[in-house]
Amino acid sequence: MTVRSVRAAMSCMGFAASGNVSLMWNVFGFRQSRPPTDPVGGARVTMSLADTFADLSDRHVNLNMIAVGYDGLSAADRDRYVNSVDWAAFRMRQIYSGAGVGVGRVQHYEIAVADARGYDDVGDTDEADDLHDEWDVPNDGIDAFFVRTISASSGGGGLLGRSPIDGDCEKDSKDDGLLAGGANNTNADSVARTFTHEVGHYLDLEHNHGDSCPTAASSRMNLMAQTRCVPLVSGSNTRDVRNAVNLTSSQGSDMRDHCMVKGGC
Amino acid sequence: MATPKPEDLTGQEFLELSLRDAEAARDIAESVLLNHEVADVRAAAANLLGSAGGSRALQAVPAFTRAAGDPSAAVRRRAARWLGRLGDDVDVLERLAADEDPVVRRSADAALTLMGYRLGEPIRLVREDAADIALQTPRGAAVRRIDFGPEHVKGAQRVDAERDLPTVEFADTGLLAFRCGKQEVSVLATGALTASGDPFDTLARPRILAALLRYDVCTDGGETAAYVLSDDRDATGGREARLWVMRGNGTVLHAGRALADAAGITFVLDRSNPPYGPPILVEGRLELATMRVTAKGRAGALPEDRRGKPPTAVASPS
Repeated sequence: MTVRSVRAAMSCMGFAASGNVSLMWNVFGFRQSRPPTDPVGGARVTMSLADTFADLSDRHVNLNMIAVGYDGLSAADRDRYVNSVDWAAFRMRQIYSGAGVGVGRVQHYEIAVADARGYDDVGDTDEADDLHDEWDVPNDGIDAFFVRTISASSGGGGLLGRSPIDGDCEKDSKDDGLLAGGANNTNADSVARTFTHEVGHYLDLEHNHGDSCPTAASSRMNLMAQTRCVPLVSGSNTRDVRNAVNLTSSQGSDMRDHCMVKGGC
Repeated sequence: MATPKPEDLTGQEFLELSLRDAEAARDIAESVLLNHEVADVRAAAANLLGSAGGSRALQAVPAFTRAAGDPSAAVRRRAARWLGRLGDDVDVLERLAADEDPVVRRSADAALTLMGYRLGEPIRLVREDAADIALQTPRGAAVRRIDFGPEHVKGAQRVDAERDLPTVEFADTGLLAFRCGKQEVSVLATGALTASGDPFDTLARPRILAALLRYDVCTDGGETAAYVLSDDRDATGGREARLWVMRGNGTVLHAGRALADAAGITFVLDRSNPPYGPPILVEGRLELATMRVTAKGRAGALPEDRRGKPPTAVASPS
């Protein structure tokens, strides 16, 4: 079957194929029910139904975007970060489509500060483990936790996100979730790259380098290069996290074999 | 342009500095911890400072003691974490254990527990009922074998164990390895296990016997997944101790017993705490003369009533 209509898309994503449908909410999965704004320039992005139907018709992943402790943010920070989460989902569609992995259903969940047992601030890997041990979305999507803040250090430096390599496909397993980012990271392109990088790990991709960063420019611009290896933007102290998101066909092939990647509808 | 003072950096600037140049960020972390106006930035500075490892982390104990009085619960919580790993001031942690904030209290309780087992003192033993589920093997239940193999601790993993707990001496080589889910985990003995040579003496006091280390993709190194603790709460003179597998934040995964004899320690882990630890039954023995461990074990699925909870679905704005 090839997805050619909104109803077929809804059916493919496991939603009821009747009743009211919001393209922005149901089909594109934007929490704001509108396209996110581009962090560079502030323009609202445009979406293509045809591309989304194509994603669903071929191999794709479903995503559960779980916001932890957003009620602890100011209204302005919450709005900014919700836009970052929608921007991350939008960027994932762009980045992964080139590798032959589409994005299917994107759903949004929340864990309030009062229920989060302090894990709205992830301070170490133990707390990240507790978080995805305690919470699971009982469906076939990847559980991605976007927390209020990450205060953890890793390997002696800062931490942006964290995922198992080759994450589990059965919920209630040891490696059934990933830490996608923290609202303390105000760079939306950095949040998007961290999220898509961690999903890459979940789908069995490793870093494309060892302790030393790769020397080839193309390797440093790969999504699976660690942030510390991404080239600086010319004339700046900032890494080019917006553009260092390339995936090779081999990486795409590896990801398509993962059990979290669904067959096309 | 003048270099900004540490307390004038924005949270984003401090985050980016810690990613770009961890050493430079650590150089200013104490000042950020004690002076920055944003609580989450002070909390991140606390974790960066504490994770420095070695003497650098130990030198930060006075700063953590000051941070224990921080007006923000987020900072007091991190101060408790690192004081439990680095310090020996029970009183300051007891004050935090009576904090008005439940997350601070929990962190302080865990810190007192880790401190007690680290110092060999029964300050806050693991709660008796911390792990209560046994492996059930009804017909048709999914049970898998846990495959244990020889140790394969890498140098970087040992460094990470020392960074997490710089006050504890770790052995050069591991005891054994196994797979937890898809992760390879190595068991690294501490000096409490390797130095004494007398198993009764080893088990007669609260101890951190070992660390469970796993590969960390973020750093291409190791990270400490849990600690193996023992205590002689039943006052057996070290003949029969309790065993606990506990994350550093106080989350207990498994429990069991250790029986000492003249040549070594026989152990069993037969109680678990789902959803953090799946039900297991592990039996094994450590020969002290060779520091070799043999073990066999099985693991089951999480019980229906002890699985992860679903988060709240966000309602459609329309």
